[in-house]
Amino acid sequence: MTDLAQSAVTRNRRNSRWTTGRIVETALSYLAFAVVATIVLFPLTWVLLGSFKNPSEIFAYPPTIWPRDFTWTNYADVIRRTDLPKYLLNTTIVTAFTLVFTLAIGTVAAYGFSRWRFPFKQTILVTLLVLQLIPSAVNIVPYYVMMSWLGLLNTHVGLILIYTATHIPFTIWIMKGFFDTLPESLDEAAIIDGCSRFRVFWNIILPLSLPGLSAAGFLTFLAAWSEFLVPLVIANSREVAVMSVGLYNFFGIDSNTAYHYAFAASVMSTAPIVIAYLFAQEYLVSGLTSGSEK
Amino acid sequence: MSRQRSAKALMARHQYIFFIAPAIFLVLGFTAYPALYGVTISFTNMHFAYPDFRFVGLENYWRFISWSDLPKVGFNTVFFVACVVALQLSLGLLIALLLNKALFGRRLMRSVAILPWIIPAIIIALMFQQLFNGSRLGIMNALLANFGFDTRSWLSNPNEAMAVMILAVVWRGVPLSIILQLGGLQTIARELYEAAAIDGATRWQTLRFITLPNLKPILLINLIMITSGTLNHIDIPLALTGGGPGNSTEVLALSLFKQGFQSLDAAYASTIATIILILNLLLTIAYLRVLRRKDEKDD
Amino acid sequence: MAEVRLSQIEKFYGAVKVIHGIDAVFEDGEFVALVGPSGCGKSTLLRMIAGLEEITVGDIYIGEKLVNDLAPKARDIAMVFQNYALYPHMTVADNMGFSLKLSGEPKQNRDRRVNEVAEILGLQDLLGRYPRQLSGGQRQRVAMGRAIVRDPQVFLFDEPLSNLDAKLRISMRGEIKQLHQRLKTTTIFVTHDQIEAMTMADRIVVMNDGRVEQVGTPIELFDRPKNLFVAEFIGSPSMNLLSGKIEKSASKNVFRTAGGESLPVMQSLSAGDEVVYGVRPEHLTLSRTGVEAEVIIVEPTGSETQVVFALGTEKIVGLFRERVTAQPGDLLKILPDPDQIHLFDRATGDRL
Ligand SMILES: Nc1ncnc2c1ncn2[C@@H]1O[C@H](COP(=O)(O)OP(=O)(O)OP(=O)(O)O)[C@@H](O)[C@H]1O
Ligand SMILES: [Mg+2]
Repeated sequence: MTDLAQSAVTRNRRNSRWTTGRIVETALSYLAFAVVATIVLFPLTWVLLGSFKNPSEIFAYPPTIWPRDFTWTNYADVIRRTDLPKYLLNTTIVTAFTLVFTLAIGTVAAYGFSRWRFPFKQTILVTLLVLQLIPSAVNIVPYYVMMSWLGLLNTHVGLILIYTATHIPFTIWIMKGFFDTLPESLDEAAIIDGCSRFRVFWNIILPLSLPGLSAAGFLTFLAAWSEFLVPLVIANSREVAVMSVGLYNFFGIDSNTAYHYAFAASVMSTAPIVIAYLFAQEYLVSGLTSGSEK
Repeated sequence: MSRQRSAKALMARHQYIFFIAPAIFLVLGFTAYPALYGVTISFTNMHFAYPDFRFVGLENYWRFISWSDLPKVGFNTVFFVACVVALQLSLGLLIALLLNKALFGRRLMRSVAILPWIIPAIIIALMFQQLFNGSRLGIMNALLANFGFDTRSWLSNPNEAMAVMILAVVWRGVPLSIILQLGGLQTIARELYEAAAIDGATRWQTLRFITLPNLKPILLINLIMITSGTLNHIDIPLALTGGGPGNSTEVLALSLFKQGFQSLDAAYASTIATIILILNLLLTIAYLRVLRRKDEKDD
Repeated sequence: MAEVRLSQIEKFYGAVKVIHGIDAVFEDGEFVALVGPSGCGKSTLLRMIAGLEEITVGDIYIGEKLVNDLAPKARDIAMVFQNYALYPHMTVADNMGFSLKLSGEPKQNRDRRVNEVAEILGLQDLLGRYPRQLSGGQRQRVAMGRAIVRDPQVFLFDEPLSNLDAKLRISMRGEIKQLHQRLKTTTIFVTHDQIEAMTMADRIVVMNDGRVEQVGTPIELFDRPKNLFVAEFIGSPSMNLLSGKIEKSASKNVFRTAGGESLPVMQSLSAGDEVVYGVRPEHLTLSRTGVEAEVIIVEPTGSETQVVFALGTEKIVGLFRERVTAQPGDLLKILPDPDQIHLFDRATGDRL
């Protein structure tokens, strides 16, 4: 047999792995995925496209999917005529502080759990995990009472306190998992070089933990930005309301009145998360699974 | 020579306290403390409209048992949780299996499939309200009409409202299921599949005898997490249906909110909270059991 | 530069005692190797000197200073780790200059010092790289550079060569030794590889199970091991050790193995003593006057030949400069060099 024929045979053999069965299976997989993608993307696209429709088109029958003409008037109206900008600003403030405090306190604690051996360490970690599972629904009445004791009803401080406390446990778990993968000799080398423990954490360990930090940071950001029940109960005055509370109060249940605002407002309220998601995505799945393993 | 311990060495050894103390205090203060305090409130007659309250023993619990709405709310809760768990777990598994295939464009697919998870509950509620608007303006009704079906009243019909609520919660919840199960799938050693292929296993047999058994701990954990997550979930029911029409979509967690912040009956709300807490506790114990068994298997 | 003095050092982990009272002096400018089997406490001891591990009992002096309570940075030491522990997010130059930066050295001085040291180690071209862009040997050198930059009183090395491949390890040995000759800084070098210790160190401390077995120059340890442990640990292939008795035969002492073979001894011992008879493989010769032993394995390496014999019931290894052409099963006559025989008390393991 010539070399050419030989290589043709091997090529053929390789190709033969693409059996009909496999082709059908691949096709079905893509089809199944197309269904999933439609179910996920259809409502979102519909809202996004709706935000660019003229109010008259939104209320016209039959409803359309693709806008007849794109317009920014809904956005302009939401910004000028509603309090959404203020709500979004409030949300940003609360989320930003929550993010900073949660990551600061959580990563520092994670470092402590990762680098020292001490009595009841495992018990404390598991307890944190269990406390994390207490839902805000269960604590909502006590939160209201506690905040009125502390004089923090209708303040951002109250929200930040609660958010920070409830997001610290998973931050600790994710970050501890991450720190555990960094060899302790790094810390020791830095200590010998003259670092204090805190400096080791800040100058050496933290810069090496950006993937974990972005995963934990994104989760905190997502939760704080979206939180609904807690702010609805303890901070629902117009001045301090966050996005979710504002939208709830504005659109209420079954209020058909302001549809054309709802689309644009929804898009504006979700955009920051989607943007953050795009940035954090790379680290997210690995960070999440490392946190969920234990 | 005696064992010597200098103050400095002691400092170094116990420095961790400075690292972990702030976190521990905050977490205890704003999770454990309120939970316990909530339990004590359930033994009083605290009401947000009145300043004074006193100890009343188990009175609130008797009220709960003889509560006229309990059968309806209880049924709703069980139905809601069961449907959400079944759908979320199975869809999550199917899509995770799909995403675990070596398909071109897998990363993009994963990002798309996970997308609903990042949408805030309030937005989902608003969105589903509009999708399932009962008038002919709702896009779902428009689609139905387009294909020659009758339009529906959706959120103003008790059964359809429940269905929409379940759909909304599942739509948002499946991604977490996918993430967890995809993580589980990726920890199954490739050698297992290769060995199975050498043994001549069909794809179905591989799934049945390799994938599912290895995934079982994750599925169990996921099951428990979804159960408690759904049981405790208030956001979408509150914003989407508010329990209506009537109390046809009122679930236990939503009753808690309504009792506490619409009827202002703090004690009664805390009673419901305590019952939910106990249910969560049972689920948590189950969760820790599974984890421990998983750890033993890993070693 | 300074001497390091350990006095009655003990270490407990909880209730477990891992270091059992160690006294040692490492002299100024000396290169000392700490050797011993895995788990014997070498790293623990080194880390106590570094200040990374609390001293449970005892005192450590560096120079005249009692350092028990001093933080590592105040002890004026530098350490090189087994995995190098280079900061992955810093360049080579930043890695090397980090300690100077922390001590507030102006940037100009820092750069000068880093460049000086980089030149010594041949790292000039790598200063801008990150650790992940370096080979194992280069990382190793950066780790040493980081230690040298500080110009410390004492260098501490914890198995710095064990992550390198065999060839590189040998060349790094030479480099480290040269460096020491140049800098003359007191160096404590932990290794479990006795050849590394033998080739590099001025003196060796042999540890076992948290205790010091013997301290001495490589030659002392090789020629006069104080006990069975050191005898077996030092030297490769390791010393043949045979149990048996001293007997008087024709006015001369001989050693009789359990199997009845008799081997010559020089020392005057009383007959009947239960001893362990030690002879290094390289001190066996093929001689017509020797005892007969059966060849089991022949391993020629080119420059020498290693032969495993069965002597009665015991195995005995010989290392010969000459080519041995025997086949397994052949009988050869072997004779230990009577001047190179080590006898140990069977009960205590101590040298007789
Ligand atoms: N943090 C610790 N807690 C409890 N025991 C420890 C700890 N660190 C070390 N040990 C024990 O102390 C003993 C000495 O350990 P060390 O690391 O000093 O050994 P080594 O001589 O360096 O061994 P190797 O050659 O393997 O590095 C070992 O028995 C070890 O199990
Ligand atoms: Mg060691």
